[in-house]
Amino acid sequence: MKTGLAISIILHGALFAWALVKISSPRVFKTPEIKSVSVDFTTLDELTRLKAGRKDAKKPPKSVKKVKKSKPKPVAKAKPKPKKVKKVAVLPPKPKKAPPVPKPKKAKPKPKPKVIAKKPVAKKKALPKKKPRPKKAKKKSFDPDKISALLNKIPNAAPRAAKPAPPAPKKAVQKRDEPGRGRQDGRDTRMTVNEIDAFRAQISRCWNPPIGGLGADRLVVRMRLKLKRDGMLASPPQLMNSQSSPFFAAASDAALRAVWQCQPYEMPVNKYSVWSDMVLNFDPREMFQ
Amino acid sequence: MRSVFYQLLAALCLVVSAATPSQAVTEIDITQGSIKAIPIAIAPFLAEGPVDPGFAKGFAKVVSADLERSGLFRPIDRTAFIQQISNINKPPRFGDWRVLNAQALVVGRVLPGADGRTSVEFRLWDVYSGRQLMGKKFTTRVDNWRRIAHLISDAIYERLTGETGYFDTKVVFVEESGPKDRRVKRLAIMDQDGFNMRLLSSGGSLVLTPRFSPSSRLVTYMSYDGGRPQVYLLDINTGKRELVGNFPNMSFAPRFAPDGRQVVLSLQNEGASDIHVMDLNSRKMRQLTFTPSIDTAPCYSPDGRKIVFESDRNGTQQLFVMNADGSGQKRISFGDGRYSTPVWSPRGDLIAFTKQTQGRFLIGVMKPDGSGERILTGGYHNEGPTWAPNGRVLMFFRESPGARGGPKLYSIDLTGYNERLIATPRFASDPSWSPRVN
Repeated sequence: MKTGLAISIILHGALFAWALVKISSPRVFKTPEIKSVSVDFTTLDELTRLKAGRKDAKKPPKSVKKVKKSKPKPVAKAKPKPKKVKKVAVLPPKPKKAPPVPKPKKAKPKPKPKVIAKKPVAKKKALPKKKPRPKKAKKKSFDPDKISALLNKIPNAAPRAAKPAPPAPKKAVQKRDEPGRGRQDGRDTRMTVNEIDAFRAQISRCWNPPIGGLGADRLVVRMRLKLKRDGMLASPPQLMNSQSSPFFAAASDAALRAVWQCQPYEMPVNKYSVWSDMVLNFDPREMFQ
Repeated sequence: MRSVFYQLLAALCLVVSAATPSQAVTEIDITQGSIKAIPIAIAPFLAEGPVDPGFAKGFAKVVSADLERSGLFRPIDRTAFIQQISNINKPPRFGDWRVLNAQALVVGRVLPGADGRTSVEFRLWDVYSGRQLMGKKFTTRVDNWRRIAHLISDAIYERLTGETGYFDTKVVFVEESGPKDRRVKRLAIMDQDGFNMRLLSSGGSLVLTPRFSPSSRLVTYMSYDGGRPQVYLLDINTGKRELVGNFPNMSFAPRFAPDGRQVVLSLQNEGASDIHVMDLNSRKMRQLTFTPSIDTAPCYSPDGRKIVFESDRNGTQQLFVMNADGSGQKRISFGDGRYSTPVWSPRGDLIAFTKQTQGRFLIGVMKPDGSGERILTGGYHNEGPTWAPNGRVLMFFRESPGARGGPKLYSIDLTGYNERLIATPRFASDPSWSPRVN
């Protein structure tokens, strides 16, 4: 009896002591340190503009590195073709190749100069020293821009708005004068979400669809719209779908009335090529929800 | 060989990808509109020859009132008109009407016809596109002129909304007069706008629940002739009346089947009532419900395949739907309160009902499966909805409280807006809207 009591007291004491030690000093609850991540909010509008490029963007430093990165292969391939090698030679290493020009001078008395002399003769009186310079200048103005322009085209993945600009490609190339700045006439930009919403708001103000008919929520009217630069209709809108039901006749009339009534439309002037010809889908489904 | 194939495929892809963008056009979805009444200009109709100018102007007034009452149109005040139409065969000066924001323009003229008849021509113009949307001519007796005006309203309504018009219709109802405790109830009929009212019964006995037949020629109703309620048929053209059946007990709540050959009604049976259908040719009866409860107010679906009715078999009045042969009975109303007087929409998509809850009587609609319950209007006592033939507008009666109070007819749009009082000389209840006459 006494033994059992003693054992019980000892065990309870031990348990109590363990609890005092263990529970009073709980494990420190550590939370992993969270690194803050800086986030910039960008609207769809801004994103669209960023993609399209800006006219007032600063001219970036010469993309020498880009040229270097992109060119190594052509350089290797260009070995047999002297012209291409020359283009790459615009970069620092080239000047070393330029000196060969004066060499012919020294060689003038020998028969070799005759061959070389043919070129100077053709260009008449021009000094041999000056000749290489203009060549270098041409390369400078042409190469980097063209390469960077090509590079810029690829990530833009040819935005939709670029589609209606097939005419006058030469001019377009000329206007794309700076990398990352887009075309100055804005023809390669799309209408931004805000601009589309603004247009929608103009039409919605005038669109009064007949909603009482059975199945009126499924009546979608598709219409082609051609606009002039002043936002007025260039020609009567054309319906692109049709049904024989009187509900459709009423729905299409309502859509036509809206388009006629709301003109002139306030649109971004520099994107005329984008909105000069549009297809509108008048879909009242959301109005029933 | 394979590499050549892949090269060709790649070239084809390039050609396709190069070709498609040039054909792309900016495409924009317009998903939100602005629901409002259509501004419409209705020019006074011209009087040609010996036609009285005052008579001609009446057409424009009736058309204008019809369209305005629908809630879907906003007739423009004619004092604001800039152009005075003098020839309906010349295109109007659309600019003058655009200034008024009119979207549609109605012009017309009244001509003398042969045999003392009169002809009416009208044109409907789209003001913004400058297109003529419609041009029609009607010829009729002079005393039928209001009906021609309603037909013109229907034509305009249909062209601009796509829905069937409901202006050339009639309403049969119970006209009530006298003090509340000794009310005289007579059967009456009028145009849907409250004009041309005439009485169909003398008032010697109480009449209730008149219902139009699909042909608009017959009316079935319940009368207390002889002290016992019985169902009668009345030819509104000839005034001829006949008893539907000589039943030992009370018969009530009759309504025609869509084919007009059968009448469905309730027959009392020892404190309960069941729904029966009677063939009007053979006068044979067929019982559709067999419960010890009160099953009443049956109404066919427009295709004649189903019947909606009210029953208290579960304790309170609720709505049930069954097949036309009485099979497949299924409860469809589960909200709080009691449901009664169900009426199937002519379009088949909704059932209108009266709902009594928390001391109020409400008029509402639900889908035939019981879903989508929507209350359109409420008040002290609203009851007895009836559908316009286009399923867009409902008419019901609302009783005002007090010793001098009484029922009046109201119409309301399916959207719950545009509630209008239908002017009647005295109190009116239990309306039934006719099908379209044409």
